[in-house]
Amino acid sequence: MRELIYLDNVSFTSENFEIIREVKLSLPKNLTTVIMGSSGCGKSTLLKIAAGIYPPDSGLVYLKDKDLLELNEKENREFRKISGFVFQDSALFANTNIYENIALPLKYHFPKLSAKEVSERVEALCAELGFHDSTSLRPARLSFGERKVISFLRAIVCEPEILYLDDPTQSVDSRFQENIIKVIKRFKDKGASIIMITHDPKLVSQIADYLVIVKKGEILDAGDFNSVKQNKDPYARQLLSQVLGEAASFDNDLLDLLNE
Amino acid sequence: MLRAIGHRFFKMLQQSLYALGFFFQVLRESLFFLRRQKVAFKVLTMQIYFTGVKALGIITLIALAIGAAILINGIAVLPQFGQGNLVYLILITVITRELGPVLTAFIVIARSATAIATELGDMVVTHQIEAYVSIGINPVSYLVVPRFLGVTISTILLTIYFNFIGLFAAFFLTQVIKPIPFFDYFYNLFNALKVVDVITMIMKSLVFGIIISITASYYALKVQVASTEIPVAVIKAVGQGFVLCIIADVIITLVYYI
Amino acid sequence: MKLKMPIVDQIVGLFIVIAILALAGLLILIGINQRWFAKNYNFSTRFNSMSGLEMGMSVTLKGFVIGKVSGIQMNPEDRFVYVDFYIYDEFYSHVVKPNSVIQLQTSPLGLGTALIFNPGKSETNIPQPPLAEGSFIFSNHMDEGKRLLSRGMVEGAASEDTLGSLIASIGPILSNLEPILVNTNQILIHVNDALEGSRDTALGNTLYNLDKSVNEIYVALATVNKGPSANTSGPLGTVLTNAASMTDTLNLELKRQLETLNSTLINLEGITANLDSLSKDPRGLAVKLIDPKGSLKTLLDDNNAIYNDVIEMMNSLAQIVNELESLSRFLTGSTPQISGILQEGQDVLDKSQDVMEALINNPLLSGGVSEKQEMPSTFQSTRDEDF
Repeated sequence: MRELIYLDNVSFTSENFEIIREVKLSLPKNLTTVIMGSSGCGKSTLLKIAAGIYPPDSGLVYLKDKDLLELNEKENREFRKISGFVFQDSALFANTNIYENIALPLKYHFPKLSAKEVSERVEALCAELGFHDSTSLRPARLSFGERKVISFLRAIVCEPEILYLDDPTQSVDSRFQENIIKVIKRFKDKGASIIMITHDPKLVSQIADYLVIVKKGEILDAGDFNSVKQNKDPYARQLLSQVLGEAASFDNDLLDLLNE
Repeated sequence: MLRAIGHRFFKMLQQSLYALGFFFQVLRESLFFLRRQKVAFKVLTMQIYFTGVKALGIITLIALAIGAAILINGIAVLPQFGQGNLVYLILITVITRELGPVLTAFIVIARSATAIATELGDMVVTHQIEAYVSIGINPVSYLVVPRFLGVTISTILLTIYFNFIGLFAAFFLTQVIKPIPFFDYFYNLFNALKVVDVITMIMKSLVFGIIISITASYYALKVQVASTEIPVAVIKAVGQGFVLCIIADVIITLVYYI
Repeated sequence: MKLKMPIVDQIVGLFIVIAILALAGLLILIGINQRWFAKNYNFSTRFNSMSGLEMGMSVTLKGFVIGKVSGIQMNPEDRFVYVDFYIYDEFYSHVVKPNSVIQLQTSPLGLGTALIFNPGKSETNIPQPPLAEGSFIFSNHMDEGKRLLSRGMVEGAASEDTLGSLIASIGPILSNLEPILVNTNQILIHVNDALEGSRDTALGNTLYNLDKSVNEIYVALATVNKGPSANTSGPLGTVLTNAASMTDTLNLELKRQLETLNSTLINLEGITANLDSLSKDPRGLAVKLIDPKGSLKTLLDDNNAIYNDVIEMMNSLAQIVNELESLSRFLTGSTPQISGILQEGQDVLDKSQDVMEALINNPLLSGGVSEKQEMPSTFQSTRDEDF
């Protein structure tokens, strides 16, 4: 297993509350990591730290032996060009329309693209996700689920190699959900490194290679999906119960396929 | 007690240093702005549009009122002391050197500092700033710098408009009430107007624009999580903006007279 | 709010371009008005004191600004004030001629000072080239300048300020008047002395000698009469008797004339004393004249009563002078200069009369100074100095 990101003794405090406490975590390259944990345990914060968005109060974040927060401008730009981030609350740019939201990373990282190429790319992605509303609307006009879709589109518009996904299917209707999962799978098949927070058992069971269980700002367990799913901790068992059910049925499906 | 004072002092010092660091970062990013921020150019244009073009109406009104008031009162009162020519000096002192830049700054604070503080504060709360970081866009160079440049440029331009309206349009308004020979007015005005007045005016509006945009974005970006922090940031941006502008005005005026 | 981006771009572009053009236009207008682009010719001069001089002060010609003071330095060694100034190029070649004098003039009414450029006149009528840039131009604080001014080698040396020049001329007139009156007085004393028989004056001597010779002639005649014929009715005797009676008549006539003169002289002396006290302080008179509550106001505000008195006085003075003149004609033979002096006195009195008339006719002063001040125009014309 090759390492993508290593969190070394990372702590993060906000308003005198230690959200992340001395976390040591290694995230694998070219694999899909799923971070699980109950609400408010610090998953989102952990993901943002791993993406270099939040600077930790102590500890370091390494990207291939380099301090992620001390990257020079060119390195940072390169890193951002190959990474995408879906925020839990979408975090769309409120003062521009949907099209601009999606196109901004493309325009920023590929300034040489013509306006036509950009719009073709955006339209193609919208079509892939099944988003057929007008892209000239402001994000505030959209439902929460639709915003999530736009946030997802914004994250993947540059075809990143690293995807940070904070609950990408949350409150998204089933049609979009399927499309999102399809796209995530496409990235996984391409060999992208995906770091994802999700409570969607279907998603976890289908694509997780690596599992991280977070409990109250600390790592309860982290490792290969198959080994972590054996964890006997009641907290872990509770989190995994649903996922494992799905996974079991998934396994059965596979057996069925093999039997045919 | 002493400890509290000491603690406060160090906190203030720390904050001032932080603000200063922020300012220098904005300055540094501004230098690179034209070269690498094609995307942010639109933000700059919009900022000039909202801060500058949209404020022209109120600036016109104020400048016209002040210019005409000085002219009419000056013409009525000053010749009684045999100092009719002083009206030009007063016009230039008030409109070009003192009130023009300050009133323009106040208008810009009232319109744009509040807008910037609200908008950026909201961006922080709704994680839009983080979204920019995740894309690789430096929020300072993409969000703060265009606002900084836009507000500064707009303040300078608005001050120039204020001057033109206060000195020239007010003259035509005064013609309706109390005619003054056109040629005499402009000849004497241009004789009384020195280049140093124009430089002072531009210096002041430049400094005011910098102060307004930097304080507004600084306090906005200090917002952390709650939308209730945004009004606080706006109040601080406005209050601090006023105070710093007045202090800067006093300093520049002192420099002018030294 | 929806706005198409290209429109916003255009509006913003227009907003910026107009402001920049306006600013540039403003700077150009300031520049033209303050002569950044025009050539100036620099000159220097010297004054005794800096009072009334200031940086940027206008150099005027007939009230029109033709240049500015660009520098004032005091040389600590000779304690003179050296002034640099420049003349605009459109005036330079026509104005800055040899013999030009720069004059620092202070208004007696405290209306500030003016630096007046007096172009030099050519001694011949051949037009002369202008002085080279950087030349030293004499000022009215320098002997050379004074000489050029007094010799009339410059154009327009007279003051343009009517009131100022009027008031300024009162002093010299009065101070001229004084010695004339003193002279007249002295002559009259001489005449008096002569009439009283003192001998140590020229006229006395003449009369005395005349008397004496007449007496001698008498004695001679008597001797002659007592001579060989002892007859007074001889031809010579008749002649001599006639001559004696003639001298007597002459004497009597002279005495009568001088007696009338004496009485007028007593009048004259009183007036002289009055004028004398006035003339002792010409400055004081000028101050009194302009003091709004002072004598001039009274003088002018009482329906010309005092003025009429003054005029009457002047007239009687003139009459006296006429009388004196007739006397002087009588005495021409012995004291010819009296006539000249009296003529001068008359001129002076005429001049004073003119001054009084000018004062009463002056619209600025009539009716007092302070109550209703004439408002100068707010918007000074292009000639006025800037501040």
